[in-house]
Amino acid sequence: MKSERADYSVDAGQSPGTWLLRGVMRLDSPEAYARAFEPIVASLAKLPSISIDLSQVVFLNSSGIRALADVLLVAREKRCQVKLFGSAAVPWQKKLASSLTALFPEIVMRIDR
Amino acid sequence: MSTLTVLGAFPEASAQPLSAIEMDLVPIDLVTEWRRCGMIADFMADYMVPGFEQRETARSVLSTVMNELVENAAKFSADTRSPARASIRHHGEVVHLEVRNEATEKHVQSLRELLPVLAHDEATAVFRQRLQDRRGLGLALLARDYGATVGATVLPAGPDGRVTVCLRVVLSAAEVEQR
Repeated sequence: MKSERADYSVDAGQSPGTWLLRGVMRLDSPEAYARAFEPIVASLAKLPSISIDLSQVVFLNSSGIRALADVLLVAREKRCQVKLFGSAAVPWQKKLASSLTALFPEIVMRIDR
Repeated sequence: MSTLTVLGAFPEASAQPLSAIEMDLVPIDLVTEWRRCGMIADFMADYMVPGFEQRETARSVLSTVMNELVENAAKFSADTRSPARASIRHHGEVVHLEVRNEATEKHVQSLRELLPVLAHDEATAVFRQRLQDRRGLGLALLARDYGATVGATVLPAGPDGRVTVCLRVVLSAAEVEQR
């Protein structure tokens, strides 16, 4: 499964339930993000856990953070454990870790240097 | 007679900027090619980063914040052909990022509700509530995650019925560099 445009990509990893996001994600609407994240959301119903690697996402706008939070809400509903991976070298990712883990204590977010 | 209204915290800079960039934007350009929002934010951030020691970090933070403001102007301009003005001003200890545009009345009402609450250090609660209500997160996110002061001035409608909003985000220079 792959969703790709010029600025970003959403790719399935080699293991089931692993997702790798890359590039600049500054999409214009919640609908655009819903399309981009659709394969991730679909996987929530099929697996007990998934992981999303954000470390190569240079920018994610607030619509994207909203969309990511929506993924976590669906995961909570489906009782699917979510692990997020980020990079300390990318400022928004460090901020996101604090915001999301405060609101979704059930997720694991690991920030690597 | 038109009276300027201040929403939230809108601190004025105490001195002339050390460095600044100001650009006119036409919102219809952004609506027709959304990636221009990011291009403008990246360009303005790139222009400003020589004034910071942690350049990569400053570029990322300034571009992130400016992109939110430019996207706001694209989404909430009353007349997408009427120019908006974006600026970044580095005042030493603080950095002001601003967008001035002719906004929709609905957007002004939204700012009237949001900004006074953000000014009272309730950004975390606002962020949580807006997440649950599925409302826009942008300004609450800047206040919560970047310790930004977010405010606006509103110049009421003149004979043409248009309201001019100047939305300002103030960041400490330390926050821009994540020191």
